[in-house]
Amino acid sequence: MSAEAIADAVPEPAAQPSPKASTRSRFAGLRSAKTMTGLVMFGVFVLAGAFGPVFWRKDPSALSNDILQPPSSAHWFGTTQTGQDILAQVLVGTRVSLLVGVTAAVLATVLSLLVGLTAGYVGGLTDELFSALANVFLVIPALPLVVVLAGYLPTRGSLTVAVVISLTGWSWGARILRAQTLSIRRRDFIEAARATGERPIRIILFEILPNEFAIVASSFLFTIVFAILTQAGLAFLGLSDVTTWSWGGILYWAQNNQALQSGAWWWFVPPGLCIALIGMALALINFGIDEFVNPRLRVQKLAAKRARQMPVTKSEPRPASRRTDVVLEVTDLHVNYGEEPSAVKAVDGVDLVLRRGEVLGIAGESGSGKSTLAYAITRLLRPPGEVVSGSIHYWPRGEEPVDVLRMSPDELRAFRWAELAIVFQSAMNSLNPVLTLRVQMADSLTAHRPGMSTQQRDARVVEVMTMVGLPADRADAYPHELSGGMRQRALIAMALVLEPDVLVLDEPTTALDVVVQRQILNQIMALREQLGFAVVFITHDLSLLIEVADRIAIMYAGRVIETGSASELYRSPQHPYSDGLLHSFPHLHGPRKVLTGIPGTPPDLRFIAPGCPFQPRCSKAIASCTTTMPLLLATTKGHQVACLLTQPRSDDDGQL
Amino acid sequence: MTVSSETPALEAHGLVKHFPVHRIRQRLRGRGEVVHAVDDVSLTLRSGEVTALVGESGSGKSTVARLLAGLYPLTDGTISIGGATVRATRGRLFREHVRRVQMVFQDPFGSLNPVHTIAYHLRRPLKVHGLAKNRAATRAATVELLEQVNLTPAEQYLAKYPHELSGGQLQRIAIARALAAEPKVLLADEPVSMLDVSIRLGLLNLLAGLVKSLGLAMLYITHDIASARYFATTTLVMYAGRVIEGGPSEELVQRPAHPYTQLLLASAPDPDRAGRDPELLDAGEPPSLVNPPEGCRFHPRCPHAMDICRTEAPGTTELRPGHWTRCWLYSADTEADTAQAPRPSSAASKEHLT
Amino acid sequence: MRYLARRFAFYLITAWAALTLNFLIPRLMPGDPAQALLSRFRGRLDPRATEALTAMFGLNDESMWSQYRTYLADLSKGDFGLSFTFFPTPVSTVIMDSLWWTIVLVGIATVVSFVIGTLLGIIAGWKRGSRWDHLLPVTTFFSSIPYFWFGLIVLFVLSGELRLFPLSGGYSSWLSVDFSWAFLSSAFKHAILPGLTIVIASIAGWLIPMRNMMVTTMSDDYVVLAEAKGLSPRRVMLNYAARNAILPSVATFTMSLGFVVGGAVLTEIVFGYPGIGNNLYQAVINEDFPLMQGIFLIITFVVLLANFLADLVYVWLDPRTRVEA
Repeated sequence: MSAEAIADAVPEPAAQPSPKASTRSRFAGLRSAKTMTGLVMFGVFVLAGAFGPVFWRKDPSALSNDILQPPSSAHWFGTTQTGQDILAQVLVGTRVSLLVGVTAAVLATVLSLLVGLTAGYVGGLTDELFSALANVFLVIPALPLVVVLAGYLPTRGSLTVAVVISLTGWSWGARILRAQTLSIRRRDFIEAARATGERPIRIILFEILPNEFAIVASSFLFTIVFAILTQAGLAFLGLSDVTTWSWGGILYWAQNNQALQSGAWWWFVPPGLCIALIGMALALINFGIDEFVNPRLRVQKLAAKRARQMPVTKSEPRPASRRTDVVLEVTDLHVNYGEEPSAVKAVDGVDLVLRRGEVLGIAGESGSGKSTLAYAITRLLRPPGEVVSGSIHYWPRGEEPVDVLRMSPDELRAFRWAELAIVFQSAMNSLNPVLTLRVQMADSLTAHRPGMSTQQRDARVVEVMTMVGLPADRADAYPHELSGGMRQRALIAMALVLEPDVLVLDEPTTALDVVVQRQILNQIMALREQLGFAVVFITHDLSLLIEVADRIAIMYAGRVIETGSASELYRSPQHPYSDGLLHSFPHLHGPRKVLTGIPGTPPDLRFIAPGCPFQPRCSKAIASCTTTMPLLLATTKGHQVACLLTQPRSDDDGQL
Repeated sequence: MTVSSETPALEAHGLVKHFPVHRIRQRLRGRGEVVHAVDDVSLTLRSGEVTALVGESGSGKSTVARLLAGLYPLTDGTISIGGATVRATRGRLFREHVRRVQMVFQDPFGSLNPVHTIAYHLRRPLKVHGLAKNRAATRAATVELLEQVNLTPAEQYLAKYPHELSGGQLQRIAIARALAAEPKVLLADEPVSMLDVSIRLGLLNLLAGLVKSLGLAMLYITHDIASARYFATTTLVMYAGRVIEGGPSEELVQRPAHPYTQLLLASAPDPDRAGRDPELLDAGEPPSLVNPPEGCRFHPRCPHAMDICRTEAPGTTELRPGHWTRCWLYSADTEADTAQAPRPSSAASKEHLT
Repeated sequence: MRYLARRFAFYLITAWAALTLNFLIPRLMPGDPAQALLSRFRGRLDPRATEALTAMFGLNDESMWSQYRTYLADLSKGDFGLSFTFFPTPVSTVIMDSLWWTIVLVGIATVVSFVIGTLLGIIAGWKRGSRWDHLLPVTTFFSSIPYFWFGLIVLFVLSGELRLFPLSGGYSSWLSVDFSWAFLSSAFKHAILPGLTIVIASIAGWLIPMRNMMVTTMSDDYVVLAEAKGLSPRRVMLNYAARNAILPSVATFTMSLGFVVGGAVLTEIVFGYPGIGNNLYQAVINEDFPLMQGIFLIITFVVLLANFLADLVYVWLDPRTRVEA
């Protein structure tokens, strides 16, 4: 699981973790209750194996006259048919089984590291041969092979058995290590290390290996379980030295003496339970490692429950607009990530109005909350993201407005796509890789217009595909058969299939090349003329927005800091941030002059000081900027700015 | 401070890089398919100057950088540094090469190893190239590097891990790492495209300053032709593995010759164009590099394509001093044939394409 | 179908590797085990068997290469040698008599376990953070239990104490093996407990990866987009999330199957089931090496075949493998 993929999936605030919070979250998976339970259980076994025989000073092989005694104070786990103390056997067995498990795991891990790292790093023919070898060993069933190998062994001591097991158990680790090495090798930091002049052996040991720690650990633990189970199986078959007390060896004797049939469950149960518990302990630790490697697996329990509920507000907010040309109105929207009081306010009181048929551009950098806003409008936020308050009103044509946030699941399903559709940034990730375009386009028709016949659906699919400039014969293509540009067109076609009133475009062309981006933008704008839908266009590229949008809202740290018509914003930006952003794009024409951009770094929403969030980067900041949060107020008609410089002084400073 | 010496800092001639598609099958069949990632690319980097290499993803521009950095072996062609030819992909010679040619990668989050501290990243090149004798000298050198890229106070960054810093800070550290080896040539592969808009120019300005003060020869790889105009003295345009036009940046942007360069410029975002009716440009996409088109690789999309474009690759035509292109429209041999064709000199082309 | 051709070639190579391993093990083991065994067997065995054993271990004076050729030639005729345990029955006959029992039992148990495990995994992933998450530790516990130990306890409680199921065997001994109702119902009754043991012990192997893949897939853009399209939750869960999440499960079928087969073989011993596992037990007790090795080969071949079937399913599920490139 690549870090980029995760970063893509998590809306902005998580992308740039703060120092403290990130160390905490980095190891969060390892500190879960499950992992701790596993570690404690495993620790108990290790201690029992190491010190148990020292404290329970009974000879496991010593015979006595206490035959088949149930557990008692003298024999905590009872005795065998020959009067041997079972607890003593189990304790020694713990030592032997753990030793076999760990030895086999160490050997197998060394083998798999050698094969996996070499294959993954060297690549080419070496890789093909090594992978083939690992795969062959992976497919050949291990137990029968071990049985044959063990059958021929001249001696069957614990160590020999461990070696045999490691010979059959290395391939799984080698396979995943190879895959991991391959993916790490493609990362830039390996190229960078090579470009620095590092030697290959150092790159493997110091750059790649440390990044594989979690996976090596996980495969190591897995192999311990595998080895203990296999050893028990061999012992049970009588194929390991059953005079050494291992858990499997005890079971062998118990079974051969009909322990269960004669009711001596205490002889039979403990060793098996030990195997099951140690297996479970290691599996629990592996859950933690899984969550560490793949943060998506971490469960957000509390938030998951609350996300399904409607946001709690005292009275239902009324839409402010009475005008008939409004199609969507966002009022005082607040979105948090996580729980108060440490919640990150990704969207912090945003008001927006979208009129029918217009293009509203939303510009912002990372941490501005623009993507979170898109997810909130479409109600696609996943925990820990949560709409805390506000309303999102939608005006159906000629009807009363409805609040999207208060829709029931059924209403919401009916509203989605039919009235409001969305196009994401990554077309490759937005299309289901195993379904054809036709199926993916037709299923929204099936869901929303159940009365349609198959022919009508097909006709509509072809119609929208033609609209966006896709040849109709591509309807039966799978996403991987299309180029990047065609995929993005397919997504747009998909969004238009139900003729929605609103189209939300979340960085729709950022991943595309300039020429294809232009093609697609032109296509969208032409379709808007033709079909009359309104567009919410979210992007970091202000220069593009000025070109295509009617009105623009610029966001910073979860707030709209300036909004106005595109041309006015371009001509006379009023907020220092808007002004700085406009001067961050080199132009194609006009004089070549030195541009400065904006000093400092985009905000980290976890650490927002009071006052104007832009103040630390603002060259025009005045004293009150550090204390007073500026409100978004109108300067001229249709132009609003949230900056103290453009506003009458607030009351604490007295009159203007 | 500019040292525009007679010998260029780096000269590449006729670079070719083909990647095999399937290894085993290739061996079985004797010869398999290859990706023609880079074909016949020549360029010159001069000290104290920035040269931009502009192209779309898949045009081969990043491969050129990696070839120059010695990260991939060349299929064909020569690279010479300070007049001497280099051929080294491993061992001592390779380390000598990378000491003179350093690279900055596109993704600052990906180009620093998450398990190592900033100090480690800066220390390594010093150690590898034997540039710092002892601990104290190493530390002093790393602090100096951080100050060079305006990360102050430097001490505050040394013990940090990459995930604790922002993209802009990380990219500065990547630049500092590249400077540690005291290179002559700096290859910057889209150094700002992953960063937030507001901090891009700060970084470009930093790089421009370093080029001047250290007399670096810099190759600036980008998809953003406006930033090439802003930042680079010379600009080269790449399409499908070939450089198709090159010249002084300002002239190239204002008077593009090759139809592809014209298309690229017409497609770039331009606020001054706001409000005009959208016009559908071409609907084409770059060709497959496994089976690139015969002749000029742009001909399937070119509005002016002629018969000769489909069969023969055009040679270099110099239009004005320093400004050249590879296009049959400008070749003396085909001058007669193109008499009726719309000659896309800058003025005419603008009307046609914008 | 390039993908399938490649997989098929791989299985051929694996089969050859298994054959060769099988050939080399007795010859390359340290301490000349073959010679030791042979002297142990001398007098206990029919001279013909000793002769066969000599040939099998390569103790005659032929070169390694010509031994290898003979070995492959014999195998290609289905000749795995003679079993000592059931002397002079050929190993192939012994195995064939029991193979079907195992294939039916383990095959059905594996399919049932895969289906139930995957379905539970889908639900547990879809409703993560709910009570379904408790399935994880519970099934993990069961998956860590040695199959044979669990089988014995189940057998002791359900058959021994409660007398709900037969104690051992594959069918009631007075019945003849045919397709009569009496035989089939008896065979079914005998298969329930061993089958149940395999299903319960192996279910976590399918459930947990499936659940984790579901959780991972659910934050993929195409699942979010499917939700945005207003599709029914059922359709989003099955056609978008689960449809993609199941691919790794099918692709790593290999690994899990090897595990299940190993455990199942031991389970058969516990239940006295007339399958190949019991043969293996007999072979081990009697040091019947030809039988042991024959069983190893046969199990490997069956597992390879099962894997190829899994590949067919994979190609059917994932259009990306059908690329003609």
